[in-house]
Amino acid sequence: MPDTVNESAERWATKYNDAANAIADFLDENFDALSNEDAAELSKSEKALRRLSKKMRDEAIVVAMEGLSEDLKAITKATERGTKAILKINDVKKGIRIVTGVIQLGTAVVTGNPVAAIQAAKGLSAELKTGV
Amino acid sequence: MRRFRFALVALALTLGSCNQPQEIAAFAALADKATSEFAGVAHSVVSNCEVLMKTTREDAASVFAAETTGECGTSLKAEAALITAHKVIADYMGTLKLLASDNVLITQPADAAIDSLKGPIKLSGAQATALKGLTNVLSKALTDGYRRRELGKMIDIADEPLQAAVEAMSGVIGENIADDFDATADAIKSYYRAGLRGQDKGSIVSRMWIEQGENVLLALRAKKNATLSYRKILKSIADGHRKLKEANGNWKSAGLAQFLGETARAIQVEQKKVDQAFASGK
Repeated sequence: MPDTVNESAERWATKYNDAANAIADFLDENFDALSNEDAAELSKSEKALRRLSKKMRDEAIVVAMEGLSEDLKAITKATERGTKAILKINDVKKGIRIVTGVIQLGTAVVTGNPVAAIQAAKGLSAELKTGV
Repeated sequence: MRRFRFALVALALTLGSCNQPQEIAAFAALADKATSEFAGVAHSVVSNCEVLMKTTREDAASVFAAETTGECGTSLKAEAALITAHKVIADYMGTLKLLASDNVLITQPADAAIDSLKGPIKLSGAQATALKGLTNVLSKALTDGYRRRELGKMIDIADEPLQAAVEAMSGVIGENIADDFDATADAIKSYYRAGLRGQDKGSIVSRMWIEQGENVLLALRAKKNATLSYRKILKSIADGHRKLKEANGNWKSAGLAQFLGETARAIQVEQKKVDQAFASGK
């Protein structure tokens, strides 16, 4: 299976970093034998490779995260649905209308009036079907 | 009449005493809180770049060039992409927490309305109190059904993309960001090794230099470990969410409650590690 862009970028980032490490090792081992100019040139290359490696790896992250956009949209859709549900439950006007229905039902129950209670229960049920 | 009243009150009490989806709320709350630590993890991409710029600078002029031409621009882009993806998950968890929690219903209007009825329908104080209790129980029971239904739908819609997003983010943390820490450690080692070239390694100055480098590497390793811990947090969130979906609305299941409790504890343990590692670096 071919590499994804993310994997490919990550692989190159690792290669650049390995090359930079190899130059650093070489500098350590041969520092005394190298001229100042050569050592400076090698050091410059090592640093450039480290920066290039970092850039490739950061690109890999950006690409991987961009690939998530559809999944993130779907999660956002679920969040929006949840937010709407919360707003509905929190809707004070709706809350008062339902609570009024509940009071009617409760009053009928407490005062022992079955006909009124059934009537209130039916009304409340209809109210709930349309709203909350 | 008495039997009717008893049956209705019993029904109301049964509905009202249905377990609220408290485990979901607790799980989502913890997931929401734990995810706030992600900023440190995401920022590590930029802070590692800053370390790299410092350890690979040639001279003052190139440092100036790096700062003005935005060498860490891609790191900032990567951080922003991570934060954006993460915010979507955090917002979802926050909404899940709110919808699952028990305190969204406003009951005060009912209490006031009942008090105003005392005179017209001659309710006694005891009846009014009983009515308030019953009203609250019924109100909760009624909105509970709706809330449970919506929770089920929300979880159903979000599960598949959430699992995919968490897997991808775990991959980025485990591969790209972990490797980024290793590469930063290599750059730090190289910087300190370069400082020792041609020097007497036994001198006090050299020994202090080595010790300084070791301390910098230790702090970096702690951050890397914390970043990997964050991957465990993400996995716990995904596992907990999958269980919620599998429960298919049966929030009362004892197995689900136990699983969510254990998941929440696992998140807490990992969160502490992330907290500690990034507290000093913020």
